[in-house]
Amino acid sequence: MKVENGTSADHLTDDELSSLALAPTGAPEPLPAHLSACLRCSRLLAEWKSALSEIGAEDEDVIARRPADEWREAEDATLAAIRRAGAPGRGRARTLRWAIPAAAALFLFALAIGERRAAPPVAFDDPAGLSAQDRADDALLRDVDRLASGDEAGSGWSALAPDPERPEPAPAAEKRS
Amino acid sequence: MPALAVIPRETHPGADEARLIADIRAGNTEAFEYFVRQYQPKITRIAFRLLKDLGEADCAAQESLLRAWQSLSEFREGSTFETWLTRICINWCKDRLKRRRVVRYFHQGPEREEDEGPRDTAPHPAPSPERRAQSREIRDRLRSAIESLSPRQKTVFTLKHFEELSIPEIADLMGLDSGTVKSHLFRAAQKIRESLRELRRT
Repeated sequence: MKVENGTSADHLTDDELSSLALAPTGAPEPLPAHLSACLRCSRLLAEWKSALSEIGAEDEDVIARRPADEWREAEDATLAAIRRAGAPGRGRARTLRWAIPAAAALFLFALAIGERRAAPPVAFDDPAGLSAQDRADDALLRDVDRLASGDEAGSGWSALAPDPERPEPAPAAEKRS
Repeated sequence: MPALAVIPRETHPGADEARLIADIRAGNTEAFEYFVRQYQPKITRIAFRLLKDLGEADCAAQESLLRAWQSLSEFREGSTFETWLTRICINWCKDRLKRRRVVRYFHQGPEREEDEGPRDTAPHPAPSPERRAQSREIRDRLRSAIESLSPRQKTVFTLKHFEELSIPEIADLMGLDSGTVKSHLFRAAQKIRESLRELRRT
């Protein structure tokens, strides 16, 4: 006959109760003799086992309560993702198909950047860095600017249309505005 | 494009999955819909048990099916598609658990109302408030202890105690031998007991 209160020294500890409730292999283990005599401990063991199955059941409830249309929506999203992925077993080929041109473009870009950095910068305020044609163009632009501003006292109209019989005057050294 | 076989949306028990896989490999890609409809709920459930988050479980299921789709050429005829897919899902979930920066110690399950009656309908007196409080405390402590397990231990424990799989089934799913699975289960139980002692001290 089971009694409610045995001596506390006889009662099973929480460790012992949880060991019985969580048998590692899941196979039932032989119960201590105390349980057949102690209502308190046998009830506690039942609580432990019940707690374990309730924890599992909570998860099951969440899944079971999910509406059918939510399931369908999740499945449809999966099918859409699969269609976007393309034919099976070709994931790597697809990746290479865009990766190689992208890598080539990056390589060419890096080369172009490298060449630009290698080229010496043009010193715009250094006439020695300009070609003869560049200097002549600059002189012409300065004359046009001067005439447009009404200054005819500079080189004069003759500078724009020099007499082919006369030698060209040396360009005046002027500051760039 | 050749005419595609139409797979009805309802699942067909006993459908010849090997034939479907052969069809898919031959180019009938729409046939994969059968596997999505048939198995996505199941692997979502397993993922939810491990991750405790329905959004993440949906992600796990979708990613697993996508990986299965992309790796279909690696599927071996000797295994079932369900086992192979579940294995992919479990590995994904284990990786996810490892990457998590914050370990969840408490899973906020549905709160029970104080006046909620007993679950079963057997004619016996309702448990006293003290008994209900004691039950809740045991459940909360046990839940916290399970959440403190390592990803591998938690997976093995969940598959054994909640999915009620056998040791050989778990071994097959996780690519382990039965002895290793038993060892993980034993260590999981030990770890839970240690966690319970820690929780009692706090």
